Amino acid sequence: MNKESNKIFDFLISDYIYLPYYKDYKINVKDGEYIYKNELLINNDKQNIYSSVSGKILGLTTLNNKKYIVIENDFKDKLKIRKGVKRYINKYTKDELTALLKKYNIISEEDVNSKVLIISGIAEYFEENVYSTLLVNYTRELLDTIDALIEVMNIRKCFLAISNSDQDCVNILLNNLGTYPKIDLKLFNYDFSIGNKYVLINKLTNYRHKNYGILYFNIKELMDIYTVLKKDISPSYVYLNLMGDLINFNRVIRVKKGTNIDDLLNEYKITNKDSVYINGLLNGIKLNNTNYIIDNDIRSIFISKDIFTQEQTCINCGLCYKNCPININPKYMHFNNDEKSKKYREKCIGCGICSYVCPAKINLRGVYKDDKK
Amino acid sequence: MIKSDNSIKKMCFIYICSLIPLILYGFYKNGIFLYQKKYVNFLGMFKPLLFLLIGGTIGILVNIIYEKLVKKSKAKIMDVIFGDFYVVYSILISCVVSINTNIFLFSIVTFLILFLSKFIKTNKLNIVCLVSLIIFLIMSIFNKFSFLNTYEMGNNFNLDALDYLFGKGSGGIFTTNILFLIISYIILYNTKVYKKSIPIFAFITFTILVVIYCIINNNIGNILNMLFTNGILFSFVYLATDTVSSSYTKIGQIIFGIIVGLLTFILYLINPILSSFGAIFIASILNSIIDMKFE
Repeated sequence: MNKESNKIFDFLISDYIYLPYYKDYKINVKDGEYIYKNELLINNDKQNIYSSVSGKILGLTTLNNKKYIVIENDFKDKLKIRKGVKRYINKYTKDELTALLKKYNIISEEDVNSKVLIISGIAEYFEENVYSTLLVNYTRELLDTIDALIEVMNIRKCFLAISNSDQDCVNILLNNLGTYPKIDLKLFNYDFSIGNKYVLINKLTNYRHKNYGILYFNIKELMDIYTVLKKDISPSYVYLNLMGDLINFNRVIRVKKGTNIDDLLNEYKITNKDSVYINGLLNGIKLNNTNYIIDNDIRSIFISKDIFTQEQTCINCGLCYKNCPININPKYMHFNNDEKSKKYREKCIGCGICSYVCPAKINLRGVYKDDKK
Repeated sequence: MIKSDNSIKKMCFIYICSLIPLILYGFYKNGIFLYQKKYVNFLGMFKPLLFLLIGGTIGILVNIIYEKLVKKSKAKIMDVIFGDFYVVYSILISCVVSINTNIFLFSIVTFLILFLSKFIKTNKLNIVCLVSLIIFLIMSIFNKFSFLNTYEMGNNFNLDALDYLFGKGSGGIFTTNILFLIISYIILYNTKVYKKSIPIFAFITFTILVVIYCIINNNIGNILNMLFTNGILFSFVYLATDTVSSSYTKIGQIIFGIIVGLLTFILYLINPILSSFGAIFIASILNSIIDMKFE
């Protein structure tokens, strides 16, 4: 096993942490106040947002048209005393466990009675390796968490899906899974779509499974569940890849939720700030401004050369249609604006494969992006 | 964002490369062989290549004129030339026409139709078939049109299956060698964009109908002649699969192939020379309906 390639690097020294602020949420803190780590910042009926560090509230700021509460990090990670944490994560009752997961926005009410559990260790974009790195570094913790979920939530069927090209991951799981007989390991050949939630669910489940209700987590979310069950605190870390052809390394980095990407790039002395992409080069976005805040949705940061391709006229080859993982017609969706194309847009998962394979270099995924805005 | 290495330029290159064996054989059959037999002089030997050269040049010119003068595009010259399939189209037109075609007529009609078709933005038709049909029709008005070269006109042949396989049947300048055509099909089959099922279903449909027709008419000896002459197979492999004007859905391609095979047979009974071009042209009109129905 190559230990260096599976190493997780830390960047936890950001002076300022930015946590989202929404107008219609209840604010539980005031400017200038001291806030503990895991203290409730804002909330509404459905979502609670907790502080990922301890420090002083500096007030509101706007970055990329979004409002954030700024916290000056004191690097002490002070916590208030917590009660009710179990020593063993499988000792929770179903009600206790679901209450905890709901408290930290990990599951919703409709997930509570699901009977099929799917854990994805397959990267959404082929160059990312956060999930496999986490699996290699926290194998026991993650498998224990899956086992606890199966036991406490009365899960009937559990799939753990990984790519068979992640050799370290495959080896370590095969060595450990003997003690977790309820986990069904599924190996997949990597293709561009298999890391997508909807594609993977369709590959793994049948009509009967769907009737039982499906609970889906990726490895990062599973890591968050472990933190919640073990410590009863809001997960404060985000694991992401920092890579690209303009920098000479590919690292998995652990950062505090709410870290500014600009701070991270400065730490690594990355100067190509006009070539920053997040979440892969297939279906991610290019950042116009690196003052962008890291949240749970960010999987990777790519520093990559700009590839400009001139769009040509559609040649009717059908490659987009042939390669679409959910069998919609991207060409029709792109060039029409009728009822049928609207239905396609609703179904589209935005994987970007259509844009990738198009010989005429048409950005077919653009329609999806416009629609989901 | 990253893009795959699929590109129109690459596809054009593969198409042109796949034509090389057929072009070499066509040059031998309609040039070198005629020169050896003293049917043409030394310069006349190069007539097949002249068609090819003019065809390719017209395709390049049309793209450059349209993009640089009409659209005022600032794209690189190679991106302009291979921005669509017009270079391949013009080369294919030079492949399917008869060696007896008037070069001036060929040049004018090819240039005009290709250039005008650039302005049609909706419902793309099969341009190669359209140009070929117009050339054949004009040629038919002025003299009795034939695919036979000067040597074939002066001799009677009794061809067997191997003769057809090695290209001794009549047809367009570079379309007659069935063996090389099969090799070309195998090359194209392995590309991502080639619509492989169209030629297969067109050929199966056409063969079934021809066999039934010949059995009914008690003329089994004519089956090979009907199948392997007049560039019909070449049309199935290269013209019917034109990405722009053929169906792109899985079932649509099968239906498209069957329609091409069926129409080719019907038109063959009226005019064998025009049959495959007419059939593919009509099918290309129906193309968008087929895709809508069978998506």
